Amino acid sequence: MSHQSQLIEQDIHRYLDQHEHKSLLRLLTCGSVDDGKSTLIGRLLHDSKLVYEDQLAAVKKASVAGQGNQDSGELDLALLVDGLQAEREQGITIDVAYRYFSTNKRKFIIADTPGHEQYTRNMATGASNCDLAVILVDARKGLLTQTRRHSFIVSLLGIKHVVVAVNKMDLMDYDQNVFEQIQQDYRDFSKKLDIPNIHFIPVSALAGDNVVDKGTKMPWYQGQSLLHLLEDIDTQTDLSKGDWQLPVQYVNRSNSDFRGYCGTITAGSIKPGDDIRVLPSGHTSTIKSIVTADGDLHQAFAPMAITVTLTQEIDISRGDTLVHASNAAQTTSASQFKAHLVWMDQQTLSLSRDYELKLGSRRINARIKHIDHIINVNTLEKGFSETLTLNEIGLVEVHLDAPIPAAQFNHSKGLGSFILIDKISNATAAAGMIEDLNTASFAAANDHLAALNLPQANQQLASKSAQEVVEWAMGLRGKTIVTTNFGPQEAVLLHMVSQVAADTKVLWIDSGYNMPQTYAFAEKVVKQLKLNLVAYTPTVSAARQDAVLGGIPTIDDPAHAEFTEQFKLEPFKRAMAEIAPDVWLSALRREQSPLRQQMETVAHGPNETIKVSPLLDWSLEDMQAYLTRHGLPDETRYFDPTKAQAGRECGLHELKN
Amino acid sequence: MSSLSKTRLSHLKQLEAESIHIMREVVAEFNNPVMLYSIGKDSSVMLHLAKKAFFPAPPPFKLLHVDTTWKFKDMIKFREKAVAQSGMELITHINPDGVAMNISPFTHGSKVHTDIMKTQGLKQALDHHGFDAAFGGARRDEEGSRAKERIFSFRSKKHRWDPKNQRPELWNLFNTRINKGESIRVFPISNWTELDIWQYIHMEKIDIVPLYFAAKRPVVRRDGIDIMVDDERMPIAANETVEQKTVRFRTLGCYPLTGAIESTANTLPEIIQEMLLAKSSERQGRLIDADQAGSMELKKAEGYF
Repeated sequence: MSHQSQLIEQDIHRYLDQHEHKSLLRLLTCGSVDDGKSTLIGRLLHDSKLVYEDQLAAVKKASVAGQGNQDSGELDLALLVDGLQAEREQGITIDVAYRYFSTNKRKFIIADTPGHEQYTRNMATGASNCDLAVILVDARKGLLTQTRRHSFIVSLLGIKHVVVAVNKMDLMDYDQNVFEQIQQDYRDFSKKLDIPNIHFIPVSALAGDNVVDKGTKMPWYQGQSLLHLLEDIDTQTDLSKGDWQLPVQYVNRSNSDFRGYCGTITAGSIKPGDDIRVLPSGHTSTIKSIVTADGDLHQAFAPMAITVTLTQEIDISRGDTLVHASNAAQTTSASQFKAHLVWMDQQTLSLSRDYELKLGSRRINARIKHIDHIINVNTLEKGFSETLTLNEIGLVEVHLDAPIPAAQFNHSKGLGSFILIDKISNATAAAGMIEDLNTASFAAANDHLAALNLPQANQQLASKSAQEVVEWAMGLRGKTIVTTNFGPQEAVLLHMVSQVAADTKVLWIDSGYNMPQTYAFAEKVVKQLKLNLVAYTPTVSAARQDAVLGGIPTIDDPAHAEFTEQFKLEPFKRAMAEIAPDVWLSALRREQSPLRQQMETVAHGPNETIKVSPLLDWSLEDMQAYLTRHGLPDETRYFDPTKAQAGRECGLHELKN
Repeated sequence: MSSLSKTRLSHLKQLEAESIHIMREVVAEFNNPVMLYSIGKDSSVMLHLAKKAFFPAPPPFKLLHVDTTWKFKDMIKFREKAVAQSGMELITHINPDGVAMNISPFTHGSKVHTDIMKTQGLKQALDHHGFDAAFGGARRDEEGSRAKERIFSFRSKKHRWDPKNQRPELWNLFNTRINKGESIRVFPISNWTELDIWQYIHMEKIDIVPLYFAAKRPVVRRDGIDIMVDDERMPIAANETVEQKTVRFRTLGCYPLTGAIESTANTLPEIIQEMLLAKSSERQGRLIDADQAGSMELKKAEGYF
């Protein structure tokens, strides 16, 4: 074996030094058996002297036995790249196979995929990790349907460099006109696609012309041989220049003092001292250090797998994405988007089922709401369909249970690509590329939560502890709020919620008529539990009401209802409309009032929320015991002047959709 | 650190990043992962990458060695040292049925020995501990059937691999969903070649078993292959002679099944030099692959790593 034998023999140390600095090119080869694709790859391996004698002997033996596609006797290089036994018997390749070779300039990973119509899925799979595609065209046949199909998929998967290898030139007498006609045809056709860099090479894989060496048969071709082109081409889209993004994959807490956020940088670069923002929470912090086993780094860039620590501790978990505070424009949080799907499962797409969507490090429930159109991969024509079947491609509208960090695929492969998983069979059902994050036109809907079976949920939760109910509610992965009036024992639920997710929005409808001790208590609880408090107040101030409108009307005054509306219900409705929560956690307890007596742990709330009351069955003693156990503050001197009587309902908990 | 330029990664650094990403994904997504540790150079690289992935903590999973009782003595010695340095816990599993049956590659042949001591032993250990993900150090460049293996390779409750029904793998988004009892074999160094492994060992100064370096060792020539006499269990026929030869090993496994090569290479650069100038592929020294055509594919379908 081996290229560069001389250097290896004479100066292995220099060779090693050179090779530690090689670059990597991942490329895709598209074409069918008939195009001579396996022969081409075999030729690359053979002529760059990467084939061991025992492998060659096996190929010679198989060639003689007539296992190859060639006539018996001649060395069939296709057998070098042959795969599984079952496929060998059928004489075809049926999946993505990965091949490796290297020269003194580069290491190459070839994703070898078949060209058959039914294998769009395999091509998309192979293409997903490649920077370049070699598309084989048979010189005798010119552009075929499959050439168009391959090119479209390559373009769809975001490959920006294509080499069109016009093969079997030996069978066309190495005719320049044949090559140029194919080149022209391809240029015309590819105008419809997004492939900025296209190269053309006339080759004979069988005879070896222009594969590794240029050969003598086509002096009219001035360009490089295929291998030399692959060695020199610069496909690095310069990931390090984009907006920095780090999907958090894992939180490393090696001890109580260390909290490192681990992930693979999908774009951009970062240094200690840079300000960052967390998606979707929006919290900000600053990079303290970039920790690696080889020492802290001064800078890290895509596609490094790193661990960062932050100067201020904020709540970050797997599935969040860290972005630069300054340039987060193209990476945002979205719960709806349009995407191209390549359907990969025998089971067809269902618009009435949830799929699990995996994007970056986030897994979330997703539903396909609408198929805008499907695309015929052979003609690129758009059509309408109720579903997607195996190997079909469509533009669809995706709705998620909650917003997740995302980007358009053409801005970021890392945060613009996703897979869909069938939740019953666990099969990978589709690959997706986000086309459009602009969701302004999408109707807001959250079918997953709307479809929640409440009696069943209540039954399941009957035996659970309050903490477990809180965890369940927050595990619904909708937008969650918890409400409080900072009355007695209110710290109980706030504490439980903050234990699960410290950044949960805490909604307080402050009528402006609270007692001084209530305001003081609110301050204390918010500080101790580091709550993300959102206070909503009436549009009329208490001072104005008192001075001009006669203060708080008595309960028997007909004006009381309007007062309640203005000071309690309107701010609450406004908050619900603006925050638009999916899940509402409340500290209601049955023993508090006859109305509450009849409530269920999980119920429908206003604004299509799911209202969850984990403490429904707790007694006052339970509450006090919890406060003591967790060292939480309390304030029992509570009075709500707007309600006038303890135990009287203002109506906030009776609001319906 | 060898990056290409200020913001470009060399191929080895890219491979390293990819492997680290895979390991973190497994730890984040599975309940009970384990790393198959076979003591060889690939395992050494895999363990080194695991340490990097979770630094400053030790890797948050256990190591599992399925011992056939026929490993080279130097391998076991190295294993104890490497485990101690890693701060990880090692589970050693030996198939008790195989021990009871007194399975030996010398009397039962490589096929029976490998099936009972490795394949069955591995399945027993995975079942016993309920591991839902197992890291293995296999590489796609090793053998034909590996070239199409996924990085996350689904296994049924019976540990079977179905080459015709694999999950497509796109980008670095791995489908980790399984039902109870099913598992995933994960190959974090799938995209590394033998040369990459050696270069990385050189670059990162990773410790490897001394058997990879040439030394004078007692060997017996059998069927054209030099087998090292590692202990007294090896039967020596009347017409055989034990010779002291300067040899080393390209791959390590059970000593009766691993052919030595005559070599004087006793530094890493010399080993790499020899490998690059070699005329036969790495697995040729392994007797198990040569049993029958497509033999690795059959073994994998049955649950072999």
